[in-house]
Amino acid sequence: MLNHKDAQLAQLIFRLLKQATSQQLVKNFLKEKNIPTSALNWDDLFAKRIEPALNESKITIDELRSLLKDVEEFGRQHTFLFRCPPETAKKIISRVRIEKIAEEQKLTSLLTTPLDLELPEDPTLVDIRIIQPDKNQPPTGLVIKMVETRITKVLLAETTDFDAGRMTKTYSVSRKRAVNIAHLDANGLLELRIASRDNQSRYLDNLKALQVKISKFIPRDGFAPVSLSTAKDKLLNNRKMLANEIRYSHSSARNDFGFVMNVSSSSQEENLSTDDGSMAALDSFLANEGHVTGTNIYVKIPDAEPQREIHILLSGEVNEFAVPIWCSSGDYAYVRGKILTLNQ
Amino acid sequence: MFAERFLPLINSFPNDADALRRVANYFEDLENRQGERVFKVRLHANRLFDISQAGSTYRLARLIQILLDANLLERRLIVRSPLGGGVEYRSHEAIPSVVLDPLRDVEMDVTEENLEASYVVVANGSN
Repeated sequence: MLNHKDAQLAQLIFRLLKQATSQQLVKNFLKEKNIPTSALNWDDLFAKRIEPALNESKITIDELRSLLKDVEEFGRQHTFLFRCPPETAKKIISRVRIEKIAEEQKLTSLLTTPLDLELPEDPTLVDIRIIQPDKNQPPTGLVIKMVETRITKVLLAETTDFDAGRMTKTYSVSRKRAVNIAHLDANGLLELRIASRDNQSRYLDNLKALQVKISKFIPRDGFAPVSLSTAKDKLLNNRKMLANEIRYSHSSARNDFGFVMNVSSSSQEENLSTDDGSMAALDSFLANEGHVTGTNIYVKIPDAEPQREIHILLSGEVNEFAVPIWCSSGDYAYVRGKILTLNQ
Repeated sequence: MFAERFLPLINSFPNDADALRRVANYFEDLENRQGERVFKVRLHANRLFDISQAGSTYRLARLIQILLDANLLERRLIVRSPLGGGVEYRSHEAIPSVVLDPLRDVEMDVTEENLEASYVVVANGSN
């Protein structure tokens, strides 16, 4: 039986899961533990399935937290890639160094137990993980998680007062949890993943805020942005070779004289690369000082049953790509690997 | 040749010489292919990052400032229409808060989302 404190913690983690993922994903997790999954709705799922399973120790708080980690750290994010020499990365992620900085910053507890925060007043580091699969070998990576509270607004009404010459728009506002991740690999690749914003497409301020917050652990100096221009060009130029792996939905290109070309498929379900006219126009544009500046693709996940695709946006800053839907860590790793391979 | 105008800069800024040389080579190649059209070049900062292989946004900013100070490039600000075209301004001060999008015949708010800088070639020291 859970004590009062753990029961409250379980409710909090459940609320965060509810915000971050689908019921199906939580049900899949329960199924793996041989726990029944039928439920009328989210709250029913907690009351009838999760809470009893916790009380009977069929699942633990740590497992629930681990599920939250998996579902909220991948997808619905804009990723910015940077690189430093592997020797520098290895020094940065050394356990002795990270533990010393954590102690100086009074964050040592985050190395063992993440902070379960729902809507913090200020952006807060909640988890610091040194990835070290083999304790006899140096760490292979460092993950730092920052949670912040964002305000979202929805237009409710618009009223016009002609006598006063005024129009008033009324919005409902709500607070929303946003999870941002920094992941430095021993090979020197640094990923800064910023939670997607509902009504904004530029992320430089959010990126800077994360960089500042983690700067004691991962300094800004010494990291160069990884331009994804090669991947963008190859995605278009090698589209015949990639036909079984990638579906194209939109491409934008610009030439060195400032001319812009946008081509889109008829719907998100269609494949732009099957339209010879659009492709011929784009090829011709690219052959005359043109470069792909943005592309909107669906990457097919191999051997997935049923077949599924992960939507990727490659646009914005030179080192930016986005995964606009939630996905598993495995799917995310696959699409990131695909982009990096194409970028070589 | 426009690219020749980079030579004094390459000597004057040894820390940025490699990046300047790459930009000069780019313009030389382009001029060989496109002739006078080199003076119509208009580059986004992302493209300049790729051409110069500046390596960091700080070094790119420094490189751009060198080229602006030397009067080789000039910064232009474009309020970008969702259709792709845009309305050009020479300074932030000149940009109104609302502009008419000529491609759609509607007014659009100027925000950081639709405002972008591009860099045009300064022909013969004036453009």
